[in-house]
Amino acid sequence: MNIIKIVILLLITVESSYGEAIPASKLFQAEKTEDVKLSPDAKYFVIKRREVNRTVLTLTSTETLDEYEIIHFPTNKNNQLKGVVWLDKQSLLVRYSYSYGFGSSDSYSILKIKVNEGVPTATPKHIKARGYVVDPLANTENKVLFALLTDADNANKYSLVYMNHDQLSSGSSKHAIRFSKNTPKAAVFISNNRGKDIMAVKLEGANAEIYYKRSQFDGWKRTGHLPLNDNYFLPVGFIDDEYLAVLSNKDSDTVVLREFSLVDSRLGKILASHPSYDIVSAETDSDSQSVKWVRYFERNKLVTRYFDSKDQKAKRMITKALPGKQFVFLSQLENSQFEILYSFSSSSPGKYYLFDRKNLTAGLIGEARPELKGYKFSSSEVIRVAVSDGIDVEATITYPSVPPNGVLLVNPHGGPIGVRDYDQFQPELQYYASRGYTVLQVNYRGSTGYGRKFLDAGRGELGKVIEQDINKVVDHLFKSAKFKHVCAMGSSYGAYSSVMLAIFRPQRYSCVAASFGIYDLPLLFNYRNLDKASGMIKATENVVGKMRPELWDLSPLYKLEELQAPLLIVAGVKDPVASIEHSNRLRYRARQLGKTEQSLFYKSAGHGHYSWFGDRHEAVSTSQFFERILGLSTTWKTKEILVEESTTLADGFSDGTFLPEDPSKAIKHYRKAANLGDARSQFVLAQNLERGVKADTLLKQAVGLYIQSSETGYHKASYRLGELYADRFGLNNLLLSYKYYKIAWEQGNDFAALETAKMQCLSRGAQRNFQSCLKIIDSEIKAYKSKTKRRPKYDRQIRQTLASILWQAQLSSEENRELQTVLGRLVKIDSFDVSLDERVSGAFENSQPEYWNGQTLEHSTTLKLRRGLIFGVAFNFLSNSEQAVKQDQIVYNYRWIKPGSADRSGKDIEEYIGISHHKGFHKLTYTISDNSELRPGDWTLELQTLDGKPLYSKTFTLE
Amino acid sequence: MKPHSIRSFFLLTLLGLLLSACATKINTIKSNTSHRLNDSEGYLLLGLDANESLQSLALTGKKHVMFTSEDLKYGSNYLLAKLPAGDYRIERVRINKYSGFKLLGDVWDIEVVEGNISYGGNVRVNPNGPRYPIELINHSSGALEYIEQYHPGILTSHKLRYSGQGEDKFFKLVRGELNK
Repeated sequence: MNIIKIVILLLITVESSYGEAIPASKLFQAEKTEDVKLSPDAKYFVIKRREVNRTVLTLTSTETLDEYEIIHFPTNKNNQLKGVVWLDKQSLLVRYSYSYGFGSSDSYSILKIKVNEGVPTATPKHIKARGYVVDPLANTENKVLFALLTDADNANKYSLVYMNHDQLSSGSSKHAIRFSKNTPKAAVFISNNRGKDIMAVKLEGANAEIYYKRSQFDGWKRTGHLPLNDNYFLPVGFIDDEYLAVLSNKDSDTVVLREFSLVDSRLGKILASHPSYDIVSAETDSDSQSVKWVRYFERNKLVTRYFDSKDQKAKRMITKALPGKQFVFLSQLENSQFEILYSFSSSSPGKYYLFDRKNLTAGLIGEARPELKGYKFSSSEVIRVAVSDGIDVEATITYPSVPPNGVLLVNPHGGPIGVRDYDQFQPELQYYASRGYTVLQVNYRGSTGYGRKFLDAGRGELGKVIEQDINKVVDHLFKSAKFKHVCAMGSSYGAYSSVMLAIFRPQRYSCVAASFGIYDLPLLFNYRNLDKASGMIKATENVVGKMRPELWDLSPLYKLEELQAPLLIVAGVKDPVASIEHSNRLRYRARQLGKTEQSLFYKSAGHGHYSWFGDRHEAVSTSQFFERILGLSTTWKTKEILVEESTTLADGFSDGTFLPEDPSKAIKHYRKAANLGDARSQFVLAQNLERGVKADTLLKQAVGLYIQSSETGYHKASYRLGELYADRFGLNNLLLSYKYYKIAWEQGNDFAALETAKMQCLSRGAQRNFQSCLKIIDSEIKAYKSKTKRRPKYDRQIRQTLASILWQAQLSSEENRELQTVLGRLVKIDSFDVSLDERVSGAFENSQPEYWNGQTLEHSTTLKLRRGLIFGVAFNFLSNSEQAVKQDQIVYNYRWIKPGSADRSGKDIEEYIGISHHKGFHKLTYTISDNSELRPGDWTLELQTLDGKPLYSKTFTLE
Repeated sequence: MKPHSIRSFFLLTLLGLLLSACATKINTIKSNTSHRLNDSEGYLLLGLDANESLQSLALTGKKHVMFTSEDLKYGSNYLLAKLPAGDYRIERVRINKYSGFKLLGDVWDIEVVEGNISYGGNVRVNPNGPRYPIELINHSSGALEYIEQYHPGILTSHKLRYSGQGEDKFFKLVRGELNK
């Protein structure tokens, strides 16, 4: 007998033996690796990787494992890369979303891949066609099966066509090939067997009709009407010409995989089932007319049951190599040597492997959360507890990964119908487990996955059977474990449940944290006057039962007198599911009754947070709430944790984005972090001192903090010191200014590099060193051009630096030429020998340099000073070169001198490089944009050529 | 899609002009000074959450009345007014001279009860939003906080009651009127 060995490379991660509190900033963030997909020919796989400021798609050769970046997207809250699929072996379909105002929309592009000397590159082409890809037809190049949106107002809005990539890009369906004659328009098309078998689901009122077609040469056939009632029904794939495999729970308690006759629309024999759990997904193979696998959750873990002996063998081997882990194959190609394997568990964020079926090896190719390497995570244990005659519930206990603090957190899930807990990595669980908490999660009656009877047993049982189940499990736990305190913590329905648990058992629960919850059940029926018309009431009745007097007695709001535990209420002001009205009522009533209460109403959250910062802030606030209420020891907190908690809380109150602005709370927390040596907090505190916001306006104190922050390496603090010492705010010490600009530059501040260069050119605070100055600026331009420094407005900053030097430095002709050469690397200079004609001067309606409709608001040099005033001069520029053409770019220097600058230097001058075209029109204007610029007096505009020849001067008197 | 209870109109019809002309302008109560109710009068309290300023909000019923643009500013605010007690219906919301919504059905009904402050709901107007362009939302706790802060004197001598769709016991709860 052959002994088959598996060599697993890098499968087992060496875990650290220590346990420590995991920072919230590490836990609450997006996964770094996603969407690992094998190409149809298995030669490459694509990975989506998140980096600090961008998301990257890479392509890796399965042969060499060399990884190449093929495209990247800047990280932007308004635009996000969502997903990627292979269209064929040389094309990828990329989906990204962009937000606008109150909504968002999805957009698609095709990436064409070219390989040159082994290095792949990709060219994107936006898709204008509206609809979705039914089947990429991955083994056929340049052709997809596409559901084309043809009638957006109709339920059956799609037509099925073949389109090539150019047609997808242009959106033109004129030459798209209809899938086949008599293809119905449908609500949804489902493809099976690489596009050979198609199902179309048509909606006719409350019924669904399935049309199906097998292979391109058969006509469409249709089943009878299927009533869309409470039964679950999901087509999976064809078994043969007469039968579909479907998932359904009609005539059974659990969802099973069974035959469905296409001839008489009847359900047939059961193909696969589990006595206790719903089958959640399956795959069939119509070529072999068999079931390939089915999946279900058993004791919260995902289980795949394979029916092919080769798959069963592979599963056994992987299970042995990855004990305690769940796994799925992400890419299953026909007869492919390679597969992408994804493994995960409650104590392991996901890992991706390239599994070689031929050599039985697996190599690690990506980790979902590489930044968490080195931290010890808690595993979860699943127990079954009898809650009623013949009824058990499954529950998960996650024990702490550090010495326990004696607190049990009872954490009911949301829903309550059709939701459940799983054995998978949960950042929130690990946050609390790494701080000493034991966390209990119960799949109470109403949870999904345990059959219809179990699911329905939770309907209408809010505040009744559901909380009884949870308390029964807690009772069970208490038989074998002791806890000093028990708290309830939950979100959505879990929030309701947490408050009710504490109301029902005041002796048991010492505190409650309730997030995004509902607390007034009758309010679900009378929140919006149009809910009846929209079907919302019916949906509510499906969970809560009909509106009835009992619901007031089952609402935490109306029973709050009985609550003894302190309460933390977290809510999202924009919550469309559990409206803020629920939390506002609860808060009002709690305060009226004098309950110990704290509330956090997040301005930019809905039914949960839209940003990771919100999750972090909530976690820190909640854990501090528990510590305060229960008097828990915090001596275990490291400096890193203390700083993180203080800065997170401070940031939440600092600018009014997340929570109502509260400068004193923000400063209190920043001060804590600053005292612990956090450089950013020292900087922010210094800024507040400078501005005198809720603190004494003591510049010296501010400078002291900036210095501390600078010494800790915070470049913004060093830069600010450079500014303060440069005679802008009365400190007037150019030597120190130069010193701090240099330090800021060394710490990575690009703007400081330019300031350092300028001071060297102008011998301000430093010995004149023109060559060094030029070298620095040249280097910054090169970095900007090579895209390593693409900060917005950086090119403007470079130009302003050069303009200042041209105006203020005493340059020799040679130096002037060298400077122009450097400027020429940033700005195209066709001519600097310029002359100009003034067209008009005065006040204008806008500051756009090349727009003027012939109207000047005031044609005068004496103007009324007001905020929003735009004034200046409009010119026609000319190049003095005889060969000049209209497109030639001519470059000059100009500056605005504000009132009070007697020596024409210093902070009251703004210097610029001006760019126009030969025979071009250009306005040079100044805008009084804020109150600090309301300075009456003379404002002067001066122009000179790049080599210092004066061109023009005009003074405006603003009164 | 809008439900049948909301109809858009885009023309300034003669009928619309006539209807507007018949409606009495409501003077909202802005200060906490005493505004004694006459016999058979009550207070109407409506919230307004609008993403643009409106021209008018008309109610039919015991009397045909109208809130006008000076009270219907963009943002969130409350409208408190004295009206004859009786049944009213929010009938029409005019965005500007040329467009608005006609509201149909009893889902827009509000009762003004004699001697009480009747809270009908918050009129939420967002013509281009993802949900319905106009809704009546129950934000009783916000209404209570508003009255407590800006009209405590009125609240001292008049009960705040919920007058919108369905039954809501929140105001009774905070007054301690619910039976144990």
